[in-house]
Amino acid sequence: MILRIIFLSALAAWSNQVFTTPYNLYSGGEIVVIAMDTSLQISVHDLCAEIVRGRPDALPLRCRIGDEWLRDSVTLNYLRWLQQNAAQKMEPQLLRARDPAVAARLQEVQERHIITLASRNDTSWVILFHGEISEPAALHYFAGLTNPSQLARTLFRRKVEPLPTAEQKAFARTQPDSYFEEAPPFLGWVGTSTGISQATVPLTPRSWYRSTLQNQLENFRYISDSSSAWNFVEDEALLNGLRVGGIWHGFIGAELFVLHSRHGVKYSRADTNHSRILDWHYDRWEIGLVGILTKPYAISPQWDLSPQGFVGFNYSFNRETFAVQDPRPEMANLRLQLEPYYKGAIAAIGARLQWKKMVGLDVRTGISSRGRTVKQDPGMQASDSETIAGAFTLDYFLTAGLQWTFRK
Amino acid sequence: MGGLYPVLAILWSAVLTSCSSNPFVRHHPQKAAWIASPAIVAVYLPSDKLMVSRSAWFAGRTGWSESLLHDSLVALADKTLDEGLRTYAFPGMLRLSTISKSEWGPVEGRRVSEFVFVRGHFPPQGKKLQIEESTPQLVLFMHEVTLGLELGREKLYDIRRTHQISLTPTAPPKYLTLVASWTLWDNLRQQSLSWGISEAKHPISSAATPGELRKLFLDLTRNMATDLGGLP
Repeated sequence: MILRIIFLSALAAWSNQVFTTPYNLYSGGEIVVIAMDTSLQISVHDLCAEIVRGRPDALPLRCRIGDEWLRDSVTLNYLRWLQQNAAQKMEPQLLRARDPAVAARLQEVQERHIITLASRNDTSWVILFHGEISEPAALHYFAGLTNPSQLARTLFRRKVEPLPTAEQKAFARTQPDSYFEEAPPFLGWVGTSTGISQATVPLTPRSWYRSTLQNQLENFRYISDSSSAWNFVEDEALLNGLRVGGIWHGFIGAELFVLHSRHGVKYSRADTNHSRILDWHYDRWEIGLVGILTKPYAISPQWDLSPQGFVGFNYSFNRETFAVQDPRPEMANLRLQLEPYYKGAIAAIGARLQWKKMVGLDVRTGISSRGRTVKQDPGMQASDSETIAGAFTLDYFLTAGLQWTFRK
Repeated sequence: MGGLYPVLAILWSAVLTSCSSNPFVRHHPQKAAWIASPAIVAVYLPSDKLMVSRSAWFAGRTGWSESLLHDSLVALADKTLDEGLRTYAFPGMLRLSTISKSEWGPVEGRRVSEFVFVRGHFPPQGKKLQIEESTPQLVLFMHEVTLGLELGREKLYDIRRTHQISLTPTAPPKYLTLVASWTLWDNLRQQSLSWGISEAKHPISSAATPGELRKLFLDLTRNMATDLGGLP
């Protein structure tokens, strides 16, 4: 039962907030209460006691009734307008004081907290003015009348800050408004991508690839040239990926990615040794990091287009799937093997079309390589040692991705 | 390649369908709740807020002399906007006569979207506009109407593009454009319910005759009625 009451009161305290901007309670601060209606008048002594209870740092705290706000007809006019316009779906900008005198008065509130209580249709509205803005800092509503403890709980956190000194205020005033910042904020994204990967790079002569693409594996392992993996596995594959990245200051960024593609092994169908193969393919997993250079262009109020350039490196892992009918220890067990991993480089260009800084469509194209890692000096017997399959493999890719972007 | 195009098409259509909100119109979050169904609506069309760019071009096409062009266009705009708004938006609307400068507040800017603003005069807080002792619930203010050549609302009102307007166009113009900034004002609550910028665009045929301009103004009011959204 007690838990239920706590839960319900927490729910009530949570649900009555229309909007609030971050603000602090200061020790030695001043609380001014304006009641627009005699029925709403609360004891400022009780309110002060409620605020200080549990926040001893707030002392010395001054609380008073702000009747001078109601004696000024222009301000009263604005407060009456607020009383009429307060609503459960509302933005602070829509409650801005339009009269220059009232706007100036609100901008001089500074560290004080002006709590205005207004009622309309059995709902009490709590409007807080604070800081140097000419609009309310917070708006809350309650069914029925409110009381000091409810007000203190709703409006103020437990934490109390010391009053800012004149130097701190002067320094805060020199800080640029975040809206006028020239450097764009950090842009991050999480996205997926899909596309194709193939050996043939567009606009290059077909003859460069002819022999590589025509080569086939004989008797599980024999091949005339094994330096490029495209001699013995299919090059054309669907390339799927997951990407996480970010752009700092609008021009430089980095992205981590995981890519997957599946490549079937090109073994000779004419070779009767291969007749018992059911399935032989490699799942290629690549993880890597690219650096990004970009520049965003606003092409409409909602759309941004950013051309991008990428350079980076990747590690490539191959997982073999090999299934034969009636496995027997023979040539199949001496079949061509790939290294546990290769490493390579990526270069690409692309563009991101971004909608409302929320969703991005990313298209990129480029080349990526993967080669063997030379861990030691090959030495004098290098020519006698076994050739390592896939010593250098280059592919071309074109991918499109959907990104969920966020700004900080 | 075959696997890529369907994927691209799906992604592109997903991006397009998610793009439905108009950056040139904004509505108050309480608009639907506050708008009363049979409301008295008044419209304020100030005659001094019609701007014409390239008046020599229009004088040559319409047949009006350059000295009389502006007055003739104001008369045309007044009559046609009135007719169009009655047809498309507010059938029983009233007209607010000219309001003297001292009755307005200072010029105020209202944000429509991130880079688009509407600027205009509004009645001072606490002052309700009246027509012969009746108080209209809603007032439509037309702040600015701009007739021009290839001067769409993006060029005129998106603050990132306003500096790109060229005073010496290099190519012959292809479109007649008419842009209006407006606010639907809740006269009782003293609050904007909808505010934004509407445009009409016609390809330039042989001549910009008064008849063609009339059609352009009617198109503008139809687009405005769409932009205004749920009306009483």
